[in-house]
Amino acid sequence: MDDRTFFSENIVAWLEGELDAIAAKRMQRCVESDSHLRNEYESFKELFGALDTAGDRHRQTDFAQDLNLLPAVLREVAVIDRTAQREQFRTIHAIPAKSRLRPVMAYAIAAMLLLTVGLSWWAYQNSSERPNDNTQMAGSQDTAVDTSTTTDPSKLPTPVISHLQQRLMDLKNQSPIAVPAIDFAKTESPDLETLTSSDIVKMRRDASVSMESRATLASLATLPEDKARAIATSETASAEVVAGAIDSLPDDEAAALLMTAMGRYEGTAPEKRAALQFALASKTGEWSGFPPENALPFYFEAGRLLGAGQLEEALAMLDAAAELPEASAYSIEAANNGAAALVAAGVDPAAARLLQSLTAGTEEYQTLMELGNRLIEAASLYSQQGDTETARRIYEAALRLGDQLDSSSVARERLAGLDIQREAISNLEPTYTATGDTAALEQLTVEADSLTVSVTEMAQFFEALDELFASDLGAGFLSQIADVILNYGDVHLFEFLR
Amino acid sequence: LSRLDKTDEELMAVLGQGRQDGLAELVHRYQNDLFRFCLHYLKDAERAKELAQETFIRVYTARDRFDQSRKFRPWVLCIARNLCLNELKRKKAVSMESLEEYASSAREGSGELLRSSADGPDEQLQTAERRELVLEAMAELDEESREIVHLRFFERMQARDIAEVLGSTEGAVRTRLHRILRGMQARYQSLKDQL
Repeated sequence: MDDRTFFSENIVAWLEGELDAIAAKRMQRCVESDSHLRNEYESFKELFGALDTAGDRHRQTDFAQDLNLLPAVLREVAVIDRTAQREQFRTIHAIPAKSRLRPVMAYAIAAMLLLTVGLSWWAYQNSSERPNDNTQMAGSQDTAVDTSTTTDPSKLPTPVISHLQQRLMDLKNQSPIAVPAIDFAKTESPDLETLTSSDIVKMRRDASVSMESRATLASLATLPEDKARAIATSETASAEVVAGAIDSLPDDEAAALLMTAMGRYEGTAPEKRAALQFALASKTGEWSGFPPENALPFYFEAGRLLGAGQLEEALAMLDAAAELPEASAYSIEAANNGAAALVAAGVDPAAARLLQSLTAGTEEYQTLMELGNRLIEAASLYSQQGDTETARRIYEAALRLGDQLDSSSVARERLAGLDIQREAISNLEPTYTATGDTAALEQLTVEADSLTVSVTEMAQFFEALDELFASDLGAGFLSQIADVILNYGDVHLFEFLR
Repeated sequence: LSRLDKTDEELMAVLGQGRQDGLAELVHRYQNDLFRFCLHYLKDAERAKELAQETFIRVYTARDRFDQSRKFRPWVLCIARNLCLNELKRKKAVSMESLEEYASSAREGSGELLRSSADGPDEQLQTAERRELVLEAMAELDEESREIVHLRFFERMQARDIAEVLGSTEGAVRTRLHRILRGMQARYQSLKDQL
């Protein structure tokens, strides 16, 4: 091959640095010995230079001031996670064989349900009482009702009401687990330095049958006040340690320490920062600047506004909350912080993580139930005053809160969601009945059916957990359990252990 | 190692463990690149932002499927490209807002000037002139050829990575690029001679 052909075939490869040393040397010689090829070379070099310049200019354009895709991406990701969590939660309960309902049992339950509805219907037909008495059963007889836009209550479809009332009775009698009420500020000082994973497993086994043991287990996960103060004010304490230690301190002191901890996450770790901000806001009532995708602050603020008699503002806040996809009390982050604080207090790291993983969401359950009760009580007051429409809106908001919590990956947060939904449905039933709103009653029945399934699943989940801890578990397995819960939440546990 | 010290591929591993700080850092690193990349295809700044965002969401949902022996950048650009091509198929008519227009309107707001490698006014003028010529030559290329040149010089990608983005082979990309650049060189010279 002559030099010109060789040059022509290889000039681009040469400028791209793709030729081997021998070929590159030949190209070099071509350029040095032939002026035509030298011109060709210069021309190609100029083209490459112009392309590089255009490319450089393209890349130098800095959109950073305009672009901030992160919040929107995280919001979308949260929606994806929640959907996935729901799917996983549905599959979790199928895993422990003992907990699975056998088909025969399922048919028996279905038959009993039909029988119950049938009997209710028969009882109703043979009763001298009429549908208005349903409101008496629910205790709302003094409610003044605006029926201008609704159906006559006497024409309500009675099987729907019977079915719904039966469901509510079932739900009232069916509690998946009692979460202990603990005064975290007054816990006894545990013997932290000698606590082992085996001790914790033993306590967890006892907790399956004893409410007292359950409370002891949860209280162990907190620190005595003096110890908490020493750790949280240490110069070397990380933000997680501070956040984990402040639970035992007075609110003002805790808030100041949390502010310092938040400063350490400035511009980084948005989830951790959000968790710290949530802890801070729940102590100070200052919710401004909170991550906008979480509905919980809106509910807290609505609760405060209802207490202050600012009804319009409270209802606007509840409407805003209803639009958001999730409500989270950040139990996983709090449990991780708690584990860091326990380690700083001298607890064996494996024991600290196990303890926090097994009690994750206990304090948050209390906080959420207080919030739910505040809303329900406010609605109840408006109902007693004859303002059914306001009562209805607040009950519906509480129902929505319960539904939003139901997608949490921490069982106790989810449990709070179920309990709040149960209360909201119980109160909405007489409200809808009193106003004769057939469509709303039918929808509420669907909600009650769905809630019954969720409660049953939750009960099975806790049973499965009890069974898990009743068996012999090695140190490695315990560590795996703690890791899964502290990273993904406990409702995913069986999915991961499978 | 903090997440700032991690490679893109290590951040994907972090994300695969369910930690979203990995995603946050990847968004921080790539949001500008992806926006520019999408804008190149779509010529619509708002839609480019939306598809850049969608690309990150696809990265998140595909985090378990990411092969850590592969490079992150071509993989993510491949996702973005597929989204853009789908969008173009879906929407035939695109608005004509270009990167240049968007960038200049963004600069008007910030008062920022783009850097130039040339120092003196003559050199700056010559560089700008050559850039205009090469962009004109590029504009005359067919769509597929322009895409390869864009990936090579505007995204500074090697043939192997371009092949990954386009779903082709390294050899095929090299052959194609050589042919395109030879054609471009002739056109570039002809445009220059017309000046």
